[in-house]
Amino acid sequence: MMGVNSAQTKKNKILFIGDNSELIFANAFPSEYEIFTAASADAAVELARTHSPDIILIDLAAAGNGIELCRQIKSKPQSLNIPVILAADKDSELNFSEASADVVILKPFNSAGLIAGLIEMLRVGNSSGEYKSGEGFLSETGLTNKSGNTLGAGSGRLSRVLMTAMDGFWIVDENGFIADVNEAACSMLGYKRGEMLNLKITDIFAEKSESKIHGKMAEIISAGSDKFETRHTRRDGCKIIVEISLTWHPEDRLFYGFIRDITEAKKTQSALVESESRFRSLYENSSIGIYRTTPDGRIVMANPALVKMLGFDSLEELSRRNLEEVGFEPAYSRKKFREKLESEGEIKGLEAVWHRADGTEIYVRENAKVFKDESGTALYYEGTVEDISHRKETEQEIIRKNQLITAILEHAPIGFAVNRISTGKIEYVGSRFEEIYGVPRHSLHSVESFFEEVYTDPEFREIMRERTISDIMSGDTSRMHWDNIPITLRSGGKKFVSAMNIPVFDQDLMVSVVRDVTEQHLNEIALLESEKSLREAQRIASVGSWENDLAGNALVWSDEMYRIMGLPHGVPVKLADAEKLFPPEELKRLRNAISNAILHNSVYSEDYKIIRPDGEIRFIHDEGEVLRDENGKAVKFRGITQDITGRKITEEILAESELRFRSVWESSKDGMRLTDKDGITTMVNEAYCRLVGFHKEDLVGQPFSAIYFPEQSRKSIESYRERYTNNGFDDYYEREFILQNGVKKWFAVSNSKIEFEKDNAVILSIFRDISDQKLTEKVLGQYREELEQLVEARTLELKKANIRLIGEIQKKNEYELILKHSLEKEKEAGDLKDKFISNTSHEFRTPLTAILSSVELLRRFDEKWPRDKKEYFFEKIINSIDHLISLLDEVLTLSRADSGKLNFSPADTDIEKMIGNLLHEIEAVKKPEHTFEYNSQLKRGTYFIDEKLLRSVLTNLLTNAFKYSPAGGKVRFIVNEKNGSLQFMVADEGIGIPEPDQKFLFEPFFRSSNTIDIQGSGLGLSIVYKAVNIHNGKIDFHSEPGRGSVFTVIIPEGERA
Amino acid sequence: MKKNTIMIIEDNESVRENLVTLLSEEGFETVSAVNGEAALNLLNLKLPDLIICDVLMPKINGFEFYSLILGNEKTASIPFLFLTAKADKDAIKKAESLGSAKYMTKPFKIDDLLETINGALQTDCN
Repeated sequence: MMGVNSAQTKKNKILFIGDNSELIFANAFPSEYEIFTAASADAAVELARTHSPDIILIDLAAAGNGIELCRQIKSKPQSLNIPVILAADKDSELNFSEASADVVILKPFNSAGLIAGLIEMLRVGNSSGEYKSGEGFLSETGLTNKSGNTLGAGSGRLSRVLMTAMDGFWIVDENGFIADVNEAACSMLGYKRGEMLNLKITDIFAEKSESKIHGKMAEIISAGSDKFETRHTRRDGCKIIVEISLTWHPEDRLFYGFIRDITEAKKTQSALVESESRFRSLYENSSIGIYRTTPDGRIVMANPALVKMLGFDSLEELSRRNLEEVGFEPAYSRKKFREKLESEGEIKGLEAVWHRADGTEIYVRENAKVFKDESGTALYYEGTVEDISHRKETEQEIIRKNQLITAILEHAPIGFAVNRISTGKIEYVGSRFEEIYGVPRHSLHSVESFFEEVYTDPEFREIMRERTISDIMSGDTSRMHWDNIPITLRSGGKKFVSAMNIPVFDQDLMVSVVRDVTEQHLNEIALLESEKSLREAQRIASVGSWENDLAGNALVWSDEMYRIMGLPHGVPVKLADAEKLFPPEELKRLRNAISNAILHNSVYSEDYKIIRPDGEIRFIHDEGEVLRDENGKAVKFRGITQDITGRKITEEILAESELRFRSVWESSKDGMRLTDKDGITTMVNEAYCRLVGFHKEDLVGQPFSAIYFPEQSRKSIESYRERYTNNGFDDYYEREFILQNGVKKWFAVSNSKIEFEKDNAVILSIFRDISDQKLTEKVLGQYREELEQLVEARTLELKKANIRLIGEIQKKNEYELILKHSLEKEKEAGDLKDKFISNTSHEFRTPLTAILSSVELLRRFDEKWPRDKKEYFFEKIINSIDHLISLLDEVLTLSRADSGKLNFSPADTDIEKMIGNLLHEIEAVKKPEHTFEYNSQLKRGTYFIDEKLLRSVLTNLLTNAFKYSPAGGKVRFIVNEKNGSLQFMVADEGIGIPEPDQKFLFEPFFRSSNTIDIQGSGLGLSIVYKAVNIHNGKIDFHSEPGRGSVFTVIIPEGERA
Repeated sequence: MKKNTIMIIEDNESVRENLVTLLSEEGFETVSAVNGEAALNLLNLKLPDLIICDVLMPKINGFEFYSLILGNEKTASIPFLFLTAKADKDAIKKAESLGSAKYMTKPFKIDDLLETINGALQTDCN
């Protein structure tokens, strides 16, 4: 090899051709080597030429084709003689002999082996003289030098050495000195190579006697080779077992051999042996059945457990069973079993029912495997069988129990949930649990969702969350149970629940139980409240309690009892003491009632009158019960006593008052009736029955309107209800009623609404029969009409006579005058006038009363009163007098009109001018709330009318329009001319005139029922009416209560004389 | 000494006011009502020692009102004085027939009124 002579001074050079990983590996070489790298054949050849490496290492997988690369290197003269090592993958299909490399090593290799090999090659090359018979050495160590030269450049056997570099390799001379050794052997035995080369075998295997080792060497020399195991203690104390093979080479008198560490192999082997025996014992003693059958179902082998499991006495007996014919199990066919087994190779965990020898059944779990020969034909089946009957039963029992528990949980009044403590995941939640907490079904998945869903109020939720966590963490079981947690439901309702958490920490589970205690909790609260208030109630209600020990007749009284009975508080009382308080009659009753209660078990509930020691009379109510022993013997009598004096007195007073009311009610000459909100008659007096001609029994309980003629009946009940709800009662009217039997009667009716309590009012109606009065009025009216007709008739006659007797005009005129005069005298006569005077008198007396009393007050307190106060009363007098004067004017006007003295004296009148003046006066009654609209469409300047009359008509109508519109609104006044007549219209938006009042509107002193709060004499419209009549005009009106009234007056022009 | 309370029922504002002024000045407590209905409501609040009542009133007239007063045991014994503008015999007869009520016709003299009131109160005390 080149550079041999300079080897000692020069570093050995190695050229690597390979990829990066190999380059890294290259760095692992000791520093005494100079390393070059190349990525391609050309680069390698160039490097070989310029640097003359001592050895080239090629990675077969790298740089394209390693073999071709190798060939190129070997074909160049520059690199022809450089030894080449090719590193190949173990599984590469490389024909080593064809490779032109000197050595082939297989990857992976351990670096120690590789380095050792390389060094060996270099060393051999560098000191070629040291082992003269290198060829033989190589040959015997399995290395074959291809080219046959001493460089050991041939690949064959040497490559094997390096390949098996995991094994130790050594050379020992006949004296036992280590001639050479590889790194593997060194590290195996625990030495460095340098140390080893200076040692003898006997040094290394020091625990063996030298003579024994020498004996063994002699043995090998005579036998040629040997292979044996021996124990070795490494220098580090570690005991190993090594396999040593040695071959004696007589030519160079050396032993060549391998050392293999078989410690692990030995261990494995002994473990295997152990496991086999264990398996045996398992097979024999296992409770699991093990079998082997032929594919056609013959039982070849079965362990004792299976034999026993299936109820046979021996394997022979069992073997007679042909599975193909009888089958193992009814539910799973043999055919299916075979098909599955042969297609899938094995069956795992098949659960089935098997028959035992005696025909009974067991549940088994079977695993089976098929064993096939090389051609794929099934040879036999092997399997294990486990009796799971007990487990099955247990399982079914558990399922049953689970179903039962679930059913109980779902029906129990408690809710139940289980969650993981660590993750908070809810594993189970009963529907009752959700129901009690009032959350939707399946809405609870985690503890978090529980808090979100259950505690709707965020603040309360946080409180509960913290409390829950801290209580559970405390581990204090008393803190796992919470009573009366308030739950606000989504619906807004409230609930109280009691909850309990049971942590099972070792299973990471939390069991939550909840119960709805709303009712119980509320009851408790109510109970507490009631207990608290009982004492107070006793005091307030004057209820005392007592107990009578029947044996000793000793009484036990509550505090209140002493108060009621009027005995000094706390003094022991005997029955006799108590009895003293009862008057004789009462005492007799008391004794009777008590003995009845004891003897006959009758209810004891009595009222008594007692006389207290101080003489005061009280009324008491006693209630008691008899307590008996197990033999039914009365032992105690206990009960309560209530002071009912107040009630008794009230009752008596009430009865008395009722009596008095009754007498007033019944003795009244006016008919009186009470009706309820629906118009049902609840009470009537005798007078009423007489008036309407019904029996009391036919009236009470019936609608009041039953007394009327059907048509009127319907109307009146409607009007009644309307007035009831709108507070339209409290009125007085006179009207003609058509009774049910067709009889017509005039009644003056006064209604009042009497409210006993809110929403419970009755209507008191007082009826007075004014038919006679009305009849008189009517008769008078008729009489007047007759007279008028008579006048007319006579006038006609006179006129006829006038025509006939033109010459007697003068005479006729006299007659006429006399007649007229006398007729009018007759007309004035009668009660009508009396009534008028009576009304007038009242109207006058009121302002006069005000005047007189004011004057008297002024005189009486003249010195006492300050000036402004006196001024007030002077003012009042003046106002009252003004009122009197205007009243007087009206009455006079009316009186004149009635007596025909009101003169009709038409003249040419400027109507618009007159109205202008009139409107100016009207301003006084107009208020800011009113708007006024005046429209005149007169065609002429003057009209021939009586200005005084017209003025009186318009003043009254306009004043009324404002006066009866107290809330304001529009008043329209339209003046027009039509067909030679003047037309006046006055319209307001005021209170209007109730329909029943409309027909009386022009009666003197009549005032509509809705004008109570507005001052007036009731004369104005009478005057208007009369004035219009005198003018031969017409007055008409239309009115709706609450909407307003419209008055229309038509005045024809007067006839010019 | 406790003041006597007089209830005045009169629909005419002017007359009512004068009565209240007079009786207050004379040392009475007064309650006044514009009609019988209002008076009934007041009776629920306080029972007067004497009632002065107009006869011709809207709604419940004086006689009807007096019937109701007599019908109620609480109020039946209260001295009652009709003030009536109806100077006719019928009205007086009626007032007399209804019980122990006194009557005065309008217009009245203050001295007469006070005398009647005091007399009625005196009788009541006895």
